[in-house]
Amino acid sequence: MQRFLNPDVLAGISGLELIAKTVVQGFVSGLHRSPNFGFSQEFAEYQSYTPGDDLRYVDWNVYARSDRLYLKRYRGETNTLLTVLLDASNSMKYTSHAVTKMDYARYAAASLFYLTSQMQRDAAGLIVFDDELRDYIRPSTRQGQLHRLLAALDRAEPRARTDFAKPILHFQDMLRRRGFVVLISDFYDDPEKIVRAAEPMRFHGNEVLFFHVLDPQELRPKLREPMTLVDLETDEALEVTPDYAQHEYRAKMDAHVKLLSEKVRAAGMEYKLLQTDLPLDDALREFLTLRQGRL
Amino acid sequence: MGLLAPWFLAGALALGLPVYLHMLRRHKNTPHPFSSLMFFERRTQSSIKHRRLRYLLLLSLRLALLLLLVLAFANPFINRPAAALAGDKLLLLAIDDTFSMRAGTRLADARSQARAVVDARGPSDRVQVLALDSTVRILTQPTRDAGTLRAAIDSVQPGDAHATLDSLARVVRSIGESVRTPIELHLFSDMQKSSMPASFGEIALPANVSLLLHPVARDAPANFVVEAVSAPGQVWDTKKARVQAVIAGYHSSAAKRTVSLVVAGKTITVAEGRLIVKPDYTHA
Repeated sequence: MQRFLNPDVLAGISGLELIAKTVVQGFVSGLHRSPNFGFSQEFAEYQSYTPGDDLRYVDWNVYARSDRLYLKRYRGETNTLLTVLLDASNSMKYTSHAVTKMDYARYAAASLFYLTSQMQRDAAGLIVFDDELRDYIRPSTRQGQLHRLLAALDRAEPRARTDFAKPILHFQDMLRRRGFVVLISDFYDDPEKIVRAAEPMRFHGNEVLFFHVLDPQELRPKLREPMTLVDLETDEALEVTPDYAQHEYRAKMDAHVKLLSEKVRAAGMEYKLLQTDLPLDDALREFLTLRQGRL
Repeated sequence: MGLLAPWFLAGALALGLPVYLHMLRRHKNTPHPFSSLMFFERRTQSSIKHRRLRYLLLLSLRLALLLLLVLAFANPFINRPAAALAGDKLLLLAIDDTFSMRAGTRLADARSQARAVVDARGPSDRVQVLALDSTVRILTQPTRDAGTLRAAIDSVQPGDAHATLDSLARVVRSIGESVRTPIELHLFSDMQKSSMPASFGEIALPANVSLLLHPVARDAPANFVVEAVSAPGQVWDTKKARVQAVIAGYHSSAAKRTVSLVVAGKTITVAEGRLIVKPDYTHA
């Protein structure tokens, strides 16, 4: 089943839903315990209603008696919320093999949506951004939500540049409810700036998970001869040498990855480096670990 | 060394093509998209390292192939000094196998002398064996194989014809035209006078041919020959018919000889008489 999690194999499957289903079911079949928490009839607690909560879980009897809205929580029921923030800037177009970083990010997001909304009946939403907010699907558990999310992922073609600060300001309004925020990007920016932009989400009580998507060529570029590289976002051209790419670039990239992960974790958030030639199960495992830790 | 068609050397300009393929074309820098140049810095390699030739073995083979093609079209030749060729010569062994060689041990002597020449030849010399009678028969091609040469010499048997030196000279002239190396013509013969042509010019030899004679009849024995026969064309009366023959003696003294008249294989008459001759004198 591991074979079906391989991104090169997934690239041959048409349709994000089928990809997500393949990934998630392949992943789940490899687990010892099912992550499907499902519903339970065992009452756990009441929770105050906040706007945006699913009205289906409101205990109307209590409302009739007390004129207050409460949600009935059951053991095993998570009723949590997942929002994926997907970077759709031009740099995500890059690839050195069959799967672009954008494709890989789509597969990861689609798998998270499938796991959340189909298997756990939780609300899931999507924000697509570059240097502006491009698309927003409000988190919901409504019928057809998965299809809306997958359609939005399909529409999310890379363009423009990345700027975390500006779009994340808008996210604050959208992320009023606490939940999981998964930020998928290649994070070509100053780690300090990225973390500073993402910290408010954490302050609102969200669990924030960084998926750092990189192509193996970006981590370990192999140049056989001097060549001119063109930046996909800025169109700037630069002549680089194999020697530089072999040593100095690698050192800088390693330092960037290390600094970003340290700063993210220092800010109470989680970080996971995803390499586009490796299977997606690492991303799902990281997400489930985070989720279980919170519940 | 020289070139017969030096203008083909202009084709050497084509040598630039592989160099272009290996060096200049490879240097063409096509831009490659990359996600971000955030961690890159502008670096340029030194021009020497930049233009380093790659696949040197392949380049060398391509250059060598083109160079050989150009040289082949230019048709090169080598001027070898005559001194260098002097040691490389062709020995022609002409062994007389005419009727007169039946006398005594003449043919055996001729063969042994020919074998001696074969044994004494230089290491680079080639030898060709010819048999001489009324025509010239070529018994071997020019070769250095002693076995082949000995077999050819031993195969020479005496015939019934007389030698014709003009035909030998003709064959040698023909060989001399096709062979650039010096030729040594060794003639093993009893040197019969009858082998000489009417004109001496017919036995002239080319400049690159040197003639070495190996006479095998040092002491000429007495020799009697029928020089001429006079007989009527038609015979009406056999009692009156007369046949006159001229018998000549060479190196002979007075001797008694029997002369038979044979017509169509049938002995008609036998005459016996005493020839009284002086040395080297012809008697009728």
